[in-house]
Amino acid sequence: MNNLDKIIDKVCKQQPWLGAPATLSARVIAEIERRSALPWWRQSFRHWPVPVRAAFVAACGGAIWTSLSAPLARVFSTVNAPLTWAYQTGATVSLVNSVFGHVSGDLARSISPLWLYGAGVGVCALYVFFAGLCAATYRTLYVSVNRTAGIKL
Amino acid sequence: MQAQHNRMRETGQELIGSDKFVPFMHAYQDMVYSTVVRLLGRDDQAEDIAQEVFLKAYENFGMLQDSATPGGWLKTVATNLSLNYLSRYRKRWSFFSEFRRQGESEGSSADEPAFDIAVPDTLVDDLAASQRAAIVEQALAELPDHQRIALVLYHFEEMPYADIARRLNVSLPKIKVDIMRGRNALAKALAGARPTEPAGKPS
Repeated sequence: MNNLDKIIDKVCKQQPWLGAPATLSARVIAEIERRSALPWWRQSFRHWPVPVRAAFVAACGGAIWTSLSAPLARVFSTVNAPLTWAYQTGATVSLVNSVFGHVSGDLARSISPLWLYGAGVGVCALYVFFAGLCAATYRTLYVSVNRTAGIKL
Repeated sequence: MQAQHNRMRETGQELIGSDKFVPFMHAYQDMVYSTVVRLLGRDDQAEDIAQEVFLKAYENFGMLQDSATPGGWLKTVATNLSLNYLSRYRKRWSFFSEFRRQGESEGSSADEPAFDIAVPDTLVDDLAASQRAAIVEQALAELPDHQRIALVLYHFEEMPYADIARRLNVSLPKIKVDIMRGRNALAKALAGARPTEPAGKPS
């Protein structure tokens, strides 16, 4: 540490805390009360009752299994025995990949490429249009007004 | 403080640990608020961020009660939330504002020397503590964002250069230069201040 570094470091270390606004603690308490007054289903997942959480996880698992069972059956009907053995022994990661690949492949084949390209171009055009519109609006209504008023932006 | 205790009880639903949380909050609110204000360089959003810090503290109050360094935890959360806010704010507005390279047109900092200026050891000795504190806060608020944030993280939060560079995603030499220029600006502000005459001093 050189001379200035030491002096400024000392000054900063001696700097007193700024006084927090008197409203801060009241705001925090009010927000805590508001959140705790919410019904459990409007709070975050960790605040849900344990039985509800367990039921939710089970329901999600069931929904996933139901939605995947048909494609899984289809895969099993076409793959060889080694893949079945891999599934039975718990190597499900590659299996899920193949299922998703299969489903997305089917989906992609059923949609005309022209529609896909058109949708992509449309989304990009809308993005550029709205971003440009927002920027132009901001610069026209906000930046120019503040510059006229002499406010540094 | 007692009124807040009572208000929490009057709601009919006793909040977990509220009798200990309110004193805890009062003990640390100035520290949290100061950390946020110094990083942001303004106080308009500081109360919102400080509130968010204490809401997170409330969620983790069980752990904080057993912690030996709850102040450190609070400062870390306050710093992270402030930097996240600044990052979001900058990304949101940089597209809409004039494009400019950092440090190029923010004041005259680009023309300033990238080395510490020479100052006497008695730089701040003549200033009263309250006057010095006010000058430092004012000078901090007037620094460009990139200098103030780096300087606050280094001198107030005691973060090493490398950590600051990593956290702000900026090169190490730039962080060192920013801190140096921020220090020089503080030194100039302090050197330019005249000691205030004690009230009632005979002339």
